[in-house]
Amino acid sequence: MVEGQFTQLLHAAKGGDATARNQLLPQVYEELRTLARHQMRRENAGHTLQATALINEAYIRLQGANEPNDRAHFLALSSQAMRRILVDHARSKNRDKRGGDLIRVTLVDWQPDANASEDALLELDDALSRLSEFDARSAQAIELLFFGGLTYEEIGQELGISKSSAFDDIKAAKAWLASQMAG
Amino acid sequence: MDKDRWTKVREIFTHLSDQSPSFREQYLDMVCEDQRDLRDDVEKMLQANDEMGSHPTFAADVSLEPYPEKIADYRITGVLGRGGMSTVYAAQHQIFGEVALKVLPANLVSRPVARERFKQEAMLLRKISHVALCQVFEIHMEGDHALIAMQRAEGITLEKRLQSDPPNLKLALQIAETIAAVLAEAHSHGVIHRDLKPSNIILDEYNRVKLIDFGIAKYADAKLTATGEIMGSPAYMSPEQWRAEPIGPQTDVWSLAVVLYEMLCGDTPFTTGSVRDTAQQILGETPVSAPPLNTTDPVQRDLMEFLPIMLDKNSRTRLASMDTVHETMRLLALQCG
Repeated sequence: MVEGQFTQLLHAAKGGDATARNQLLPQVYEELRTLARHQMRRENAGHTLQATALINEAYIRLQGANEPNDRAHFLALSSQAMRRILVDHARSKNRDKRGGDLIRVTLVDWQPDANASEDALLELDDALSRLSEFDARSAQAIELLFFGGLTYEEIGQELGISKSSAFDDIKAAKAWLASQMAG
Repeated sequence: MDKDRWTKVREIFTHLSDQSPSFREQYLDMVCEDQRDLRDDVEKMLQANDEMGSHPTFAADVSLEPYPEKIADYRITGVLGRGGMSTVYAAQHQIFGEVALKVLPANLVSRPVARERFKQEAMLLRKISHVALCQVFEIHMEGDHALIAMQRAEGITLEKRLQSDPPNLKLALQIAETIAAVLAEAHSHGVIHRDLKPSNIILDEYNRVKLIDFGIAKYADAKLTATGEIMGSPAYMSPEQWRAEPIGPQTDVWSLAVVLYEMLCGDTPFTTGSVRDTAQQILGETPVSAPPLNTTDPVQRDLMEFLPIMLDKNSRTRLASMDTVHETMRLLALQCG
């Protein structure tokens, strides 16, 4: 990507430009996936991958030497891509039980049993999709928190609500998700 | 789950997530009635929430609970009380001496809403000064600590006193007079107590009164109050609090009237057992009847007229001036001779 183009697109996407967002998302997705693969090859099997660390690295690479701005919005954009990458990976890993890359992710505020990481992730993804059917905003807040590592304040800004509303959204959503996943 | 149902489940969950098990139980009995699956959904979420470690413990007898030896500069000597949002310790300080130390539990210190609420209480406690309020010595909100050190109220709660040695007419009026004076002062700063009840009123051996626990008090103009959460104590809660409608000075007028009624008659105007029955009486159409007092006594006759004005179920027409309540109580107490 041409230097500066990324920043421009990000800015436009933040302003609500759907075309810019559609151009940006695949790039973010690609970048994150490449990074994740590199990381997995470098690390020993069973090593824990930090979703937010990956996103931060992707941001630095895409952003280049430019002034850091719109970081929170980039995180928001990436959290969706991150969720998809992790879920895709967990699915393919489940199909191929003989091995493949073992990827364990650490998500903000969510600590599944290390041995059941993949299954738990798919379960979370499924519950989160169901949540979004009746409470899209809370589901998005969870995505931003778990997969993007945004703070409550950033989540509030991204969703156009107060920090305390974001907190309440997340508290109720987490309790619902946990109640769904436990049984 | 559909949207309407989720809205209901979520609302109840949010009301109850920081409440004690007994309050949850009573509240669920009331709002869910026979909707078993609604109740199941909420209960599952509450359980999941508690297991995530965000919930402080509620022990039956707090004085038996273990406590830390030291918090910041305070040597802890016992547990005075524990609620959803804070623990109050008996503590010693080199300069302040014996204090009540209100502490936000460690698992809540990092939570923005809890921290904000605690800070708000600390700030408004410092703003209002009255001899019947515990003096604040120090507010400490740095790093892992969020604490308020204040004067320790000596004595027993009005709740216990009502059981062991109920105040006579004159003392009841004097207690109401003092509480009205404190609340009038709070109202003049835009602060509503919202949780006035006998267990928040302390009497010492000379019958001096202290009003404690501004824990759920709110600024009247704060945004949060507009949609009012239900956090009070069933028998003393006003109709507007039950309906989660906006509250104001008249909300405290209502609760003070219930407390006074109880001091005069030995029972609140509503208690008949379950929370649901209480709520139905408070929310029902029937106006609150005058307390059964002695009509030959002029003071008691005046009270039979005045209390129903304080207990007007319509929050818009109810007496809203705590100053008027204060003045009335003062005059009536004087007439008691």
